[in-house]
Amino acid sequence: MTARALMVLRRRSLPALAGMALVWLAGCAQLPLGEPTASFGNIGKAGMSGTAPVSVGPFRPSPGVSPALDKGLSVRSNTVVSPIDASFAQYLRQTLVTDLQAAGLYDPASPTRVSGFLTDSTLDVPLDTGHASLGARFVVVRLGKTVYDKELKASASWPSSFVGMEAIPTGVNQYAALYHMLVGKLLDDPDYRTANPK
Amino acid sequence: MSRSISRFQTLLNLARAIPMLGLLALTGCASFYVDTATKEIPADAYKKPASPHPVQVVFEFQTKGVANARATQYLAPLVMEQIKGSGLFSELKTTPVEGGALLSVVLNNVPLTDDAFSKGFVTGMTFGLAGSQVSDGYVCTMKYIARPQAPAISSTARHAIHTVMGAKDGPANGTKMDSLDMAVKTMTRQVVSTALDELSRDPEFK
Repeated sequence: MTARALMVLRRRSLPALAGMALVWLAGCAQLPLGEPTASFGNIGKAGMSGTAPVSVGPFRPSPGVSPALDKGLSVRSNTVVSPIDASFAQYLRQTLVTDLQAAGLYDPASPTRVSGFLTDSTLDVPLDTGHASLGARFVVVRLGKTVYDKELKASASWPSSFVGMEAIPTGVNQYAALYHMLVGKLLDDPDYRTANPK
Repeated sequence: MSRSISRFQTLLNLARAIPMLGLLALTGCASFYVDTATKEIPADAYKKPASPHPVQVVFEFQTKGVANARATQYLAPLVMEQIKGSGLFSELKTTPVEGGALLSVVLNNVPLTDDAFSKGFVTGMTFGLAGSQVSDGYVCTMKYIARPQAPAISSTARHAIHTVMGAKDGPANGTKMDSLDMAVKTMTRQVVSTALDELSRDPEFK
């Protein structure tokens, strides 16, 4: 092999080495979810719900569940974390506030207050079918009286990939989408609508 | 040095938002071409309503139909600014507006070449001697509801970014971009302008 050929090979191998370095860098990374933005679907659901504006109280992990459930999810040696106080419960709270604000149904001064307890949070990205689930107990209190108390759950399954660079972001997107799905279930729930009429 | 770190950070953010394109950009062996079929339509060309109304805008970037919060966060300011400058609305807000007008903008990334990784892998294994090309499609869908309970009117526009790896000529139907960041922002500006133009020409858009 000539010196020139070696130089060409070395020059062309640099990008490949950079790629390998990236894969190494990507391992054990912290992957924060994106900040919650309003969901068009949930704005529509809120509009149809016929419910009154609410305030949003504290959200926290449900008593009895591991605190780790709130902190992070391990996905192929990466850790998915919440950008809101490093807490998935706070991420759910912010998602609810964002959707309610966008629908004109958020009023911090409202005597009706929604609080939540995170009961479930999983993300599994194997080589065949990915699965994610999210659960929370929503409690609505009006003037000191509990008018709604129910656990709601959302889940998703999707074809996963062998390639981590594709499978991990897909899994993270699927998991993050569950937050709007769960809020949508609350807005859709006839019991919630009955408990919080306009 | 700090400029290099900042550029690397931008690429890392893009890699997390739009993974496969971002990965190829980080490896440094990829070139990005914005498809030439969809061109930017200047705001002057839109059919402006006689008296523009305020509107609430909800933007969402999706990957294969699933919301991608990081990419949404990355592109939302660009899209909002473009709609603001369109002259089609008197005011833009992310909360409800007087009159109840609502505009949903969804930009969905759909892979046109589903084996992007294997193509990139082959290019990498041959140190770039075996070049390859992958294409990503983008579908921009706008839904506009003039007032609560009013029927939605919609418009759709399509675009693509072609990524060339290794020793392969660029596509004839692509304009080469200096970076992935420029490719994504150019594609977004062009596809949003096309969807806005179509929306403005709907007889029900007043």
